[in-house]
Amino acid sequence: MDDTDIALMARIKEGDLEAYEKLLDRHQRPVFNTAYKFLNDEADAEDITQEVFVRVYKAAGTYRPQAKFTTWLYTIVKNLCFNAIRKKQSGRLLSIEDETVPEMASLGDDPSEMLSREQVKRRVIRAVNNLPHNLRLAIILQKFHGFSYEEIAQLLGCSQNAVKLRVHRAKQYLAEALEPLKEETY
Amino acid sequence: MNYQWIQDNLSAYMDKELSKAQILEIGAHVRNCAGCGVEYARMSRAWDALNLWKEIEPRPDLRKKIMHAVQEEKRTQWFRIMLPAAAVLLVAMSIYIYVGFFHARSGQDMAVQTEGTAVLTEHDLQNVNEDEIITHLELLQEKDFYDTLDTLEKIDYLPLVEEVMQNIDEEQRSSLECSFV
Repeated sequence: MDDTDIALMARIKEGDLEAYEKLLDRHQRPVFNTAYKFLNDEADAEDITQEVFVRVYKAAGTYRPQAKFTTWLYTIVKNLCFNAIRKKQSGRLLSIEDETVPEMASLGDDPSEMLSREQVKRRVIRAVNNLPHNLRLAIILQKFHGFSYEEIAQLLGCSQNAVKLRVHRAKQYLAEALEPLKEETY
Repeated sequence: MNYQWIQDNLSAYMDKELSKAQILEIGAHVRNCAGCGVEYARMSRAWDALNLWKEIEPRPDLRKKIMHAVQEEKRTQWFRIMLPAAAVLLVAMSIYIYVGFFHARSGQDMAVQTEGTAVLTEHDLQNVNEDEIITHLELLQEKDFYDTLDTLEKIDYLPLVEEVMQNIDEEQRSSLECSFV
């Protein structure tokens, strides 16, 4: 039986819950981790994952395979994550289009000091979380899910050149933020 | 391909998002240019540092929660489909009952209003003699028949042009005959 995501979606449209479970088993973990890395909150990530898969089920009837299934799936993830962030930051009136890379946070420690892996990890997470939303999502999808620039462009609704520029800026920022860390640490 | 272009595309080079020729060219440049080499190494280190941020396993009950939510959705979906259908059916039935009631009422009113006039009510029709109806119908048919024949007669007896001329000749001849007499 054809088990591609698109074939599974066609079966879900016919009310096949077994196909839905298969799709869920395939994508639940990466979707959860994307939301978790983006929001940095396990409970919020669970809520988002649940909502994403309920929406997938609801949309199965109208789903048209125009792009890759994952592009469509992660567009839902993106929308829900941005909404969640917006709700959290509603008091701060921060625009999601604001892509100004923040000023480099002072590490405060002696750069020559050898940091533990856990400390490095915390700095990595902090550095990624400091990125503006679009850049953060682009980095997460590219680094952890192997998305191409083209897929990220479709997902964020911008050109491939814009994605290239965003990823470049994000990498430059991360390089600066993690500069003092010793290579051997990771 | 200038220096600035190479600097701007170091990240794309790292992600292999360039053409083969461009990758080869930037690779050669990075190996020979100290500045670009340092920048490339710095970005690569930061990129590799992200590997420390491992994926985590979602709680086992998340799948259960999702399946439960979907089952619930399936039930409500059925309800959502049936509700408008039931509403349409209800409205249609109401209209049918209302129209039926109104029709019966207006029938009764008509019978009351036409009492004493020539309009026959259902009651009159039940009491009417069949022979009487047949006779009336025959008369009606005959009337139609005669009407039709009259019309046909008129059409058939329209004088032809030659006939008219002949008539005139006959008239002249008779007048001459008269004069001789």
